[in-house]
Formats: sequence, C-alpha cells, structure tokens
Amino acid sequence: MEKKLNKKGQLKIQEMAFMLVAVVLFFGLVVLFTLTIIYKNIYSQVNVKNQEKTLTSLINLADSPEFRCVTTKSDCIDGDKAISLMNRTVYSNFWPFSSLSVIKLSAFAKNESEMIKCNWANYPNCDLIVIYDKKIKNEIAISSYVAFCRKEYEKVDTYTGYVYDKCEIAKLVAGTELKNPAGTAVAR
Amino acid sequence: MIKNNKRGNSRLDFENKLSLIPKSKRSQHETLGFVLIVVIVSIIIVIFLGMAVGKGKTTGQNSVEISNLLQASIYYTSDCAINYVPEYEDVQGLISSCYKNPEQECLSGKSVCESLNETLKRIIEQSLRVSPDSPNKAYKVNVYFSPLNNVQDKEPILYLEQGIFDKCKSKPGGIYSLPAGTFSSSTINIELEVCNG
Repeated sequence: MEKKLNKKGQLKIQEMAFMLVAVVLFFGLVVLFTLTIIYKNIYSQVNVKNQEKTLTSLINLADSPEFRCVTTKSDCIDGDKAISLMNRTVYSNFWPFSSLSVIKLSAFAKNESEMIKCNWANYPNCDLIVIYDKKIKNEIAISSYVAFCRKEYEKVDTYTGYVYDKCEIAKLVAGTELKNPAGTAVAR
Repeated sequence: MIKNNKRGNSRLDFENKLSLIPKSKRSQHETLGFVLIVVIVSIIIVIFLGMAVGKGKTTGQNSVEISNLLQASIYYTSDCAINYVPEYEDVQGLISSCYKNPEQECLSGKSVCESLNETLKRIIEQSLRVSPDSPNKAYKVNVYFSPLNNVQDKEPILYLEQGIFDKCKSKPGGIYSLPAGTFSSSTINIELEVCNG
C-alpha cells in the first residue's frame, strides 16, 4: 500500500517537473518573441531618426553657401553652383548623406532610367544632377522641394541678347543609409 | 476516510473533490482549459503581430514637403513679362499684380491673373502628380488677401482644385504669406492642401 502511494507521488512529482519545464519553455519563447520585436523596433526607430535628420540637413542644405542662390531667396539653389559641384568626391565626406542629387521639374514624371543625366555639355537641358553617390545598397531617398535658379541667356537678334534669372522647381534628393539587424549596409 | 469540512490540506481536498467528478467530465474540463489557454495565447500573439506590422506608412507628401513646395513655387519664373522682355514675373509678382490690378496684361496679351492660374496649376500638377491612382488624390489651392485687422474678412484672389477630397488617409498642407504692400501689414496668403489616399 505504502509502495503504491510512493510510486503515485513520484509520478506526480515527475508530472509537475514536466509542467514546470513546459511553463519555463513557453515563457522563454514569449520573452524571446517580445525581445525580437523590441529589437526590430529599435532599428526601425534608428532609421526613422536618421531620415528625420537627413530631411532637416537637406532643408538647411539649400541655404548653405555651396548651393545658395545669389539673391536673398531662401530654399533656393543655384543651378550653376550645383553643376560645378558635380563629381567632386571631397563633398561625399563633407555632408552626412550617402548620395546627393538634384532632380529638375522636367523629370518629376520620369523613371530614373529615363532621366537625362546632366554634364557640362548638355546643361541646362537635362534632368538630373548627381553631386555624388557612395553607391550604398540599403539606402532610402529623402527629398525636399527647392527653387532651382540659374542665369538664362535669351537671344533677341544676331548681336543682342539678355541674361536674366530663371527659376524653376527641383527636388534636392539625399540618400540615407538604412540600418538593419543583420549588420551595416553593403556597398553596391 | 477524509472529512470534507476539515481545513488545512487544501490540495488533498481538491484532489479528493476531483476524484468525485466523473472521468469524462474531468477530461471535458481539461479540454476547455486547454482551449482557453490556446485562445489567450493566440490573442496575445495577434496583438503583438498587429503592433509590429500595423505601423504602415503612406507614400504621399507630408506637410513639410508641401510647405517647401509652396515656398519654392513663389520663385518660379513665369512666361509673363509686364514691362519688358526678359523681365519675366515670378509667381510672387504675378499674385501681387493679380491682386492690385487684375486687368493688367502681360506683353503676350494674356492677363496676369490668367497667367498666374496657368503657372500655378502647371507647377502643382507636375510636382504632385495628382490622379485617382497615385498617392496624391486631390489638391486645392487658395490664394487670398487677408487684412491685418480682420482675419475673417478674406478677399479671394485665386482658387484652384483638382480631384475629390474623399476618403483621404491624411491631408497635409501648408500656407505661405506674402506682404500685400510695402507699407501695409496685411498679407496675401497661399494655402495648399493635398489629399493622400
């Protein structure tokens, strides 16, 4: 009788041990799941903060001496200054962006492949001025509308012509690197 | 024999009570308990997933972009020269001329208000690409004179709209104020509102 009771007690202890293991495993999984979500959220918050930082820098960039229009217009970039900054690699370390370019109003409806890239030969009859591009794979583009002004020459006849300030709309586009849990972004 | 009214070893009491319940009913209770646990755990998982996935973003414009677009628009050079070529008016100048002298004409023969209407419409339609299939479903632009002493008494200068403001997920917008005159504190305001769907 006593032996039977002992065996029953052992069984009960075993049952309880299994139950405890199961409970610990279950809560372990729940904690793991929660931590994964929190960890992922931290990365997405970092990315959002970086994007906000890029947008703020971008808005101020239009008023920096490198881009600012000669006249006292705010949020206005000088197209002639922008084209002269093209392919100057030193600026890639100067501004906190992974890429920087200017898209003119004429290209707002075009895909990147359809845009005519600006160079000294085709300026100003082009769509896209690439100041620099670090070729980062995980990149998100942040843009801000700016006035894009330049000197335009209008011919009146064979001998005379006028130069005036012509302003249009453009988008100043800056790339920011996206952080992901697997590691930093890889070069393209 | 264990007395039921005896207090102290409650676990033993409980097990004794359990042994009194028929086996089929006990398994029913266990199944019900298991189902309850599964349901609670599922609800918790669904809430967590909802929190993780539900942070969707709209791809349309936000108010900062709209304000920047408005500010950039006022410098846009139109094809309207009032005095001589190449002194082409910018949108700012056209608004001012359209308010002060709506009858005034450009050298091309078009009225300044007509030129303002065309220029502003072109800028906004090309910049925002408004259509029922795009993130920007509709827009409205309101240009009006606002006297300093009476903000309610607005004097309309130009009103433009495209699309229908219906089922908008967000309505970003911006306002830009221009001085109405050199010695006046009254302003001319340009308001732009966009429907993001």
